[in-house]
Amino acid sequence: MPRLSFRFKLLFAMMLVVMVVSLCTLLLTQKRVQAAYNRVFREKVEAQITYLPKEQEARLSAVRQRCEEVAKSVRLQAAFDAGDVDQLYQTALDELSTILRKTDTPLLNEAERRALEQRLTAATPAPLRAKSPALQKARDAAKRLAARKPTVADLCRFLDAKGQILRPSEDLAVLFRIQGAVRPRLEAQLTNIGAAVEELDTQQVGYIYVEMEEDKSKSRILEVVVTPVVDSTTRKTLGTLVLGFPFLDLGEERISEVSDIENGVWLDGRLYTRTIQETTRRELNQILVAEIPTREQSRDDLLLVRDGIPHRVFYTALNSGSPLPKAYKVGLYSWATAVKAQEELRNQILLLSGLALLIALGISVLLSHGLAVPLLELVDGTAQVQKGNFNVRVPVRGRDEIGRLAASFNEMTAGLALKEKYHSILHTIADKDVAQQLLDGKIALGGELREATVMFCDIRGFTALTQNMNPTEVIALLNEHMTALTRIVTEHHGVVDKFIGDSIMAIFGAPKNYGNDALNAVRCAERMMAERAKLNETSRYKIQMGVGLASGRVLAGNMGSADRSNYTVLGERVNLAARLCSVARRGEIVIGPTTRGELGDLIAVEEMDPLQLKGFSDSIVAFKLLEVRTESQPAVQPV
Amino acid sequence: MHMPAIVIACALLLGTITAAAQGAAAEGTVTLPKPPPPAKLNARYAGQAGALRPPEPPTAVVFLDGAPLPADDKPGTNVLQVVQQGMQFWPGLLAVRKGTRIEFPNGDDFYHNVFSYSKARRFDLGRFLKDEKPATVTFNQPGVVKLYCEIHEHMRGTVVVLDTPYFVKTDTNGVYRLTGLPAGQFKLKAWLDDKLVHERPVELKSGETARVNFPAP
Repeated sequence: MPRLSFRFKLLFAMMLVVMVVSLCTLLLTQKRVQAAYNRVFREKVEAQITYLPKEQEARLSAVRQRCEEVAKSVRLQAAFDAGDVDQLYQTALDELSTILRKTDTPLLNEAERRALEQRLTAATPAPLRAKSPALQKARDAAKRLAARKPTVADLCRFLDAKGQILRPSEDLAVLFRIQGAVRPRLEAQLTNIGAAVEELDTQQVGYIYVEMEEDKSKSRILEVVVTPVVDSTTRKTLGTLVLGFPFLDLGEERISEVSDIENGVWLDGRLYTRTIQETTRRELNQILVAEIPTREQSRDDLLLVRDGIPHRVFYTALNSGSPLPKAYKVGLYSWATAVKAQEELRNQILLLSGLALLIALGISVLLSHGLAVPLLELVDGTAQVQKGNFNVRVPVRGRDEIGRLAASFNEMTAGLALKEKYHSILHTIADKDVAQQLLDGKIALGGELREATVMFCDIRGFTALTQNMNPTEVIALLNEHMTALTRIVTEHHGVVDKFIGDSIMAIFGAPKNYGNDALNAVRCAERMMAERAKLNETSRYKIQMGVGLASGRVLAGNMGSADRSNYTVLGERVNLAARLCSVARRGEIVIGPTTRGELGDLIAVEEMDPLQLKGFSDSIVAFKLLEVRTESQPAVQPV
Repeated sequence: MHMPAIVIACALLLGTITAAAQGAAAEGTVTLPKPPPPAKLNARYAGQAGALRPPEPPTAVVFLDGAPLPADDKPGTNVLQVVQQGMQFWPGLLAVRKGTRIEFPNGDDFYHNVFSYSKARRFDLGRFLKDEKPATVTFNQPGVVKLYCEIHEHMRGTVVVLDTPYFVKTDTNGVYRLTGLPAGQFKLKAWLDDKLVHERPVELKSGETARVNFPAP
């Protein structure tokens, strides 16, 4: 099935090419898209990581500075020294008024704020008395504040040198209480910070989680500035001031504003977030719990899969280098847009590939059709040529290679047809063997000397016989006679040299030597006699023949003019054969002495009286052939 | 400005010696802590740095605890002075009898303040200058009263208020001598600071001098 096979191959090749190209494109673009998104992600993370400490610095620098100053306050030191907790907190109220009030600004109106501040300031120098009207008013103000703002409050706590929380008396505590907070948990975290305080000699930033009892959604992460209070003289650490500010909202909102990163804070094995989906938190936390201890600073190569969409996870330490419990900013960056872009791109590429495939299929069908049809025609043509029909022509459909092939084919068949024509003409006008030898180019034009046997076969009494016959009859008679005899000559590897009137001249051993040409010649002569006798039985005209044979060296070659020549033999032997033929009587085969000598006892002969022949000075001893003794042997191959 | 303090100190010393003639005595050495590192002046007061003096070297107060009061006991009604000079309290450590009044004159050319949050005596004198009339604080409750200046955070002073007349402040080598003590078995204590009070039992015999070093060997 060459037709299907070629088409199939072409289609397959096209499909393969299109698919490979598509696949490569797909892979390359996917890789590129991924790389591009990766870069974007890294830039974002980089921005986050550089932004956070700066933001923290900007947010806290004033507070930190103030805390440092306050920690140096001699009143604070004196209060620590005296173990006077209330005095500590009272001093904090005075010293931190700028910071504490600022945070409270939206919660108290201006008059209240001022009143509270003034009264508390006024109350400071005088010894603290529970029933002081100034303090009472401050307490009332604080109560109002607490009533109006139950969930959000700053954190201000003192820890002693061992990290234990110092609690003010009830009167003052109301000012520092975080309403609604779950106290044990808050205090546990403060104690955690306290545990680290012993090894603390500089200010640190830490994080604690303030869990709200009534409304969990209002729970907060507090960013705490932990400042050791060091005795100015002895340089001994007296205790610690812990000042906290709400952190989570601020951070999350700002980050959400500048990017599409879901984020939260990971603190002490727990994840606090509002933007990250509930369903993801547990899994994300597991990842963080496992990964953070291995690399503490920051990391951005983690992956989490949610709803089939990969999410990049990054974290960065908020208080690196601090002995306080570590807190981390955690970000979750959805890869959804990247995945979507990839999908879109993939679909587009697949669509285009499909189109390309279709086009390729169409083109390949057309091409294969355009190639296959002329080829099939050529195949048919070749088959015709094989059968010998040289007149076949294929249509020439174009000037391309196929067209040229078709044209060449046509030229070739035309040439073949012409050659065949010449061939057949040559065969009719010349002996087949000679024609073949001529065609094969085996006959040298210059001529050669060969050993051959020449035969002449002549009809006796032809003139008398044909005297009263019309020409057509004569020709028919001759043609019948010559055709039959020529066939026999050919059968015996002889070559009909020419027809001379009613006689046939045949050569055995030229142009081709069969090794036993003389024997072939005598057998041929015998067969010719028998054939003629057989013909005489059926033919209207009874014909008698005489045959003369002579063997020996002859000159063979193409002889004639430059335009026209024929293959023939010349020489004394030819002459002898012709003479012997003429002496042969009806039905007689006369052979020359050389032929007789060559065949020896293969033949039975009857020696004739020496003959005086024209052109021969000596008398010739000729023999009448009686019988060829051996049965015909298989033809010997040419030498 | 030094004169009154010195006069009073001499008078006290004379009184002690007179009393010692009739009773037992104790003497010895208290191993003193190293002096604190030099104070760093707050940058705000860099202009006053020239006036900054080193603080008084550490000393200790040695007193007899649990001894009966003498028959002719008079509560401390005298007036002592703690001067703020060279941005230090002089003396840095002062032991007084319950009921003593202390004046706090300012010897420097800038504002000083004296306050204390100590349980034994809580007060705040506000800010005052050299030429102002010094405020006086009466120390009626035994205990340790720490003195601070809210302006100069490195300034530290201590008043040890005692309920006994048998006490003495060591010299800067830690050497002390207590005379005019009653005979009997008592506890002799050496107060160095809030967290460091040595205590040793002592048997006092009239006309004899007990030798007690702190801390116990």
